Amino acid sequence: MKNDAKIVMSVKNLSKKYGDNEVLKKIDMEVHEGEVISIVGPSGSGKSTFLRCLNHLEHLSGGEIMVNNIPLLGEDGSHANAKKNEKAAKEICKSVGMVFQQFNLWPHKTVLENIIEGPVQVKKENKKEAIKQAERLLEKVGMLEKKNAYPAQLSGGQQQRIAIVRTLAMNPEIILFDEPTSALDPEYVGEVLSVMKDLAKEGMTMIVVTHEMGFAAEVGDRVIFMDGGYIMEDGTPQEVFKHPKTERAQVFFSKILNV
Amino acid sequence: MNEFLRIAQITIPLLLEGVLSTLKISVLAILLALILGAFIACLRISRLFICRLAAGIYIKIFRCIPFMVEVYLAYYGLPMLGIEVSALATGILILGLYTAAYIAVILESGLKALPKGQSEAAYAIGMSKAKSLWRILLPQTIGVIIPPMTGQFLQTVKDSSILSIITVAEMTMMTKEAIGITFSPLIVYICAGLFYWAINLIIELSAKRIEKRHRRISI
Amino acid sequence: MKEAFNLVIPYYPLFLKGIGYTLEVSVLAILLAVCIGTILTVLRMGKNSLPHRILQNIIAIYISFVRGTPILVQIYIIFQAFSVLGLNLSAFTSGVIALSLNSGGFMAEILRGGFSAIPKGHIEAAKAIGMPSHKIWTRIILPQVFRIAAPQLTSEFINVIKVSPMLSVLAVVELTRTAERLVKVTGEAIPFYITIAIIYFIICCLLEELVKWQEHRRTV
Repeated sequence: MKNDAKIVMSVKNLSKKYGDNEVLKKIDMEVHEGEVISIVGPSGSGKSTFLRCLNHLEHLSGGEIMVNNIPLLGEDGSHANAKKNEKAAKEICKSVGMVFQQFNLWPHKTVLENIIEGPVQVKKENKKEAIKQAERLLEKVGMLEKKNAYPAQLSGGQQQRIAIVRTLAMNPEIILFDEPTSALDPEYVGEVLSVMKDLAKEGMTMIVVTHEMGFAAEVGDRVIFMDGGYIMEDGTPQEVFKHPKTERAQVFFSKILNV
Repeated sequence: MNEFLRIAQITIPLLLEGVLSTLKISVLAILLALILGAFIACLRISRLFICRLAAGIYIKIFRCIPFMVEVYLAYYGLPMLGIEVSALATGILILGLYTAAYIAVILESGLKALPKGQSEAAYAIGMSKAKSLWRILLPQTIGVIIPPMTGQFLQTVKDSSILSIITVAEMTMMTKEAIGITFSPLIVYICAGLFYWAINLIIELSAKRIEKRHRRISI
Repeated sequence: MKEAFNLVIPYYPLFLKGIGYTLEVSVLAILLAVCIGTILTVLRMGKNSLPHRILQNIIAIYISFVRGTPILVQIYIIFQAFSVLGLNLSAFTSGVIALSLNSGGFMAEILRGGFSAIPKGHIEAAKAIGMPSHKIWTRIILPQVFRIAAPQLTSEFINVIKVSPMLSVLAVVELTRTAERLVKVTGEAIPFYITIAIIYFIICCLLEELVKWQEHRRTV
């Protein structure tokens, strides 16, 4: 564990409602610098919603999220908070990247244009510098020769690697991964996971919603198990997978780990 | 046959004058409609209920009242509101306002057809809403909206003929002048029909070319 | 406001008559248009022989002309053509014919869209049980086409109502012509035009709800 490292993100008493339907309940979590956290759980357990709250893609109903000392506050019944959050989210997005299940590359832009869009348009970086950096990153994931291709010409695995590069180009401190391999054909899962492993080794702080228990066990410093909108388990992969405390987690893991 | 040539000789120059006027009116009205329509479409996808409602009412009103009635209302109503402008300006204004309602709907459905992830990815790298609309969303809708937009432009050229009822000197109005001289309304009207048809075919063909080129880029 | 109201109210029988005329013109035109559109659709789907191809090209040109020129010009052309031919048709009749020839062109496109949405297997199944081809049309294809295209057909009806004011140029006393006359008589324009605007608005809104309902029913 890297518990002595500084805390880069903390979540206190987070809740999220859609109308009367409460999908996240009393969530508490702390993320230390350099940690790799896997969030697992059955579908509908709220894990993706939780992840999307962290960069304000979903508005939180109650509680508080702190990212690098920037707060996001519960918005239900508070127009003022909603306004404040909107500003805060702009800042948070500069240091928190996100990789989506469906890649979400922009189909009308080439690989290179996709990658430099953020640095040039949002961070106002020099375009030449941005291209240099983009090419360096593409080289790293072995996709430099595809820089002028359009997303539709790439396989799913290639698209997801580009999406990761697009996120890295913003120099984020934390990256959120929303089921990054779930939309891929099985033969492409490995190449994406290996890019993610390299990132983890380099000390990137990562929060990964995933069904890849192997990845969670091998790379993750911590595993969080969610069910019914609650965090049921939070510990090292060893603790959570081998000795879950709650019955829900025992049933879930016995089903998927023993098959 | 000689009779026909005589009529054509008188009619065609008059109608050509009308063609220019029709084109001028249509282009100005379409420009106005594009700007206003884009604005209304933005209101339609806004998070604020009041914006969506206002835009919805605008669209409903302009689409559910026959254009001819709107033209009369503008023609008699603007002076009552203290706005004294020429019939030409009135015509362009009302044609623009009317077309804007249709363009707003086309843009709105184009934007809504995009996967939500596209704007989310823009949001996740910290892009402002306006920028993501301009750089990420709108360029992608172009492929989808070219055919309905073309249809709308053709419609606007055709609708401009109605402005003849408030004496705007566009092509249909010029037919009246030609009929006054030649006394053969049928031939004059057929000529006018052919001119409109030609304009529309030209617009349609150019749109098809643009569409083709665009398709080549996006694949 | 109250003045305008008092000005308009006494004329309500005229407005009712105008609404009646507008609806009559529109309903007649749309019924004829459905016939024209259906015939064009059937003719267009024919075999690949030379006479058929010529016919199909003529239909394509007809549809292109109808869609590519203003309805106002079409109304004038039809009206003048009848008088040149020596047929003494009333403004009402030639107006209805003009509207239905126009709408028929659009209708053919709508029906073709509906036609292409029918799975090929349905027609093959009908052939397989030995159904003659006219029966395949009337029993298998057209009923499905009309069901699939129902929302667009209603939308086209709305369009016909919205272009019907143009018949006022032929002095057909539908709703808009009624207003024009009253404007001439009273010297007041806005109250009457607002009145008919509201009437058209209500009719079209109601029909749009019908379109929504039809679309909803189709997706369920």
